[in-house]
Amino acid sequence: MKTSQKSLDRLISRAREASVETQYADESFRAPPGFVTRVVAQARLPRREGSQPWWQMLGVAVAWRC
Amino acid sequence: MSPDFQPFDFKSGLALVRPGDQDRVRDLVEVLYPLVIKIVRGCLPRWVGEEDLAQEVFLKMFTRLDQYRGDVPFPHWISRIAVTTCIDHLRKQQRRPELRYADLSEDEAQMLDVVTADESGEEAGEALAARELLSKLMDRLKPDDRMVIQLLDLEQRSIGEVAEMRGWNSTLVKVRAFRARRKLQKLLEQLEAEERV
Repeated sequence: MKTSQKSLDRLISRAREASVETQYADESFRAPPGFVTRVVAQARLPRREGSQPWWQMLGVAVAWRC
Repeated sequence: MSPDFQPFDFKSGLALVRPGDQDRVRDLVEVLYPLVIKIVRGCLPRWVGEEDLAQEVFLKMFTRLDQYRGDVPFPHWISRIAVTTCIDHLRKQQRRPELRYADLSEDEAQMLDVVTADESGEEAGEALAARELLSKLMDRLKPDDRMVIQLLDLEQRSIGEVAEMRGWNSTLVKVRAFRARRKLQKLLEQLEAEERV
């Protein structure tokens, strides 16, 4: 195995330890305050307008905003 | 890709989300947030703007909900959306300046010594320094290659999982991984050579 390959394997192995710590932290991670409200508010915007499903209306709204 | 989604019954939940049940929309976002944010964090070079990107993922999810046919588990479906969104985001950035030895922090330079000399340092913060150094190297990769390293090598997902998340076949995942690792090896060699000068 090339030296650089061994070096990379060692680097990835050590970096993975930090990633694992992050993953464990995420296990109990919840959406920050206001996040869900923001998303739901976005989703609520185009609701109840005509016969078009609200999620399709949302697509129109997002496209318009961009 | 199997977090505990027991509190949310996707089948019946989605049936309520589609007509616009706001409480179920809220539940859906809450239950999927850890999965989405994990993918977003893994993808971003720095944890900057992760909430904006996560929000973009959810907005895409809602706008495409009518396209979900139920042929794969819902978390797999949104994982693919998250991965694609992240890669699109990285492509837009398209900024991969050359990485020089002088750009490394003291800890990262020390980590370079450790991994190239096979030293066995056990100092606190070593994993973080390794993560930062690897992240700088990965910044130099194409977005798809970066994602493959992130998912396969750091998160240790299977080739099948990555193939599903990216919409590729497994051969393409292996080829991408091989090329990405070779590129990373070359970058390490370059840094090591600069260090010796």
